[in-house]
Amino acid sequence: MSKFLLSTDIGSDPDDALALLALFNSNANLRAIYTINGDSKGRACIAKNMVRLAKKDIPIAAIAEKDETGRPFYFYEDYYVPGKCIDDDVCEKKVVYKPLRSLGIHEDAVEHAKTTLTEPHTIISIGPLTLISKLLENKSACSNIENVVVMGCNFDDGNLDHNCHHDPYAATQVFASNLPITVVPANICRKYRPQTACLDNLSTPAGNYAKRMAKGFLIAKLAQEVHHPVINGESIESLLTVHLKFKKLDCEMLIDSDFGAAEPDNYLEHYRQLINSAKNHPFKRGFGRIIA
Amino acid sequence: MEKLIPVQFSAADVYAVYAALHPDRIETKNHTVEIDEMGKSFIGSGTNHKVVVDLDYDDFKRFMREFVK
Repeated sequence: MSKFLLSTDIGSDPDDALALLALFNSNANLRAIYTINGDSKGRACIAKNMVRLAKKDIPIAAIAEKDETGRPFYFYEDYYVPGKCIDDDVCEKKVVYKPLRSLGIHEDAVEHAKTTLTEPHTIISIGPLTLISKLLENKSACSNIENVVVMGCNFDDGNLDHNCHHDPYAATQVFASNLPITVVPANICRKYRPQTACLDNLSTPAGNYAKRMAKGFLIAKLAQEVHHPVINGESIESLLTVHLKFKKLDCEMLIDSDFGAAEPDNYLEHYRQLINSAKNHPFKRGFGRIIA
Repeated sequence: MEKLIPVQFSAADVYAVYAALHPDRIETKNHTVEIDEMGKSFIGSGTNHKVVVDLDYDDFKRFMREFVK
């Protein structure tokens, strides 16, 4: 039975979480999860929570990065990390995580991968190729990489693919290496996109967690779209009308009281704040943190 | 405004899992992939990498229903 390692930037776009669900529920022999890309610690906390909810025993390691100020594109995933991952005594404006070791998360993904790659594994890469590029220096580890399955590259429309674009140096290094690589390019993934209603099929504990993340992503994407100049200037009432439509997707759960927001009755006010904040600081502030 | 409400979502990363677990259900062609300094990807000359060019989408939908839950 093949052994797998997952390199992921779980958080932000929820398809990483869906991929993790697929690995859990198919009983794939997943031996470790490595988080990369900016706030790798926060991403590791999300992965840890999913592993816990799925009652799996899979090690998680965050890639050590010097720049801890690098943040995911959106921050709403923070919203879904249980508070116990965050040191509330220290954290005021800036998120300060407890020592990863105390959360059962390994602090150096590269070192963990090296020790795991003493036997053959396939690496599934669904984020930037940072971790794999750092493994290239270790010939022994590389000799045990049976295959790297990369979600990334875009050959059709000239647009940049996120996973290669976010760490182009790593992507260049990995594709220039002798590693066996199977690429799943963006055009293949665009041919079928599930209906949003399919999110309601997520019913396991880990699935429900991923569902909240996915619907949070959708509503934040909507907030981002609302900022678009073409429709900027719409009245707040119009925006709220859209939000009421959105309620059909149960997106109000984004701000329910289980996850730290005020009473659900106040969600319209929260949404108003979200929109205003998004208008003022569309790329500098995290929607989730504002909501929370 | 209603058109802003997404009716579909990306499951791109699930495709990578599917390709890893079901290599028999994907069709690949050998190419060499090159990346420029901006991270833009190109098909270069050579046959170093396997690029997925098609897969069993009906089976992928079954995979989604069965395992993404």
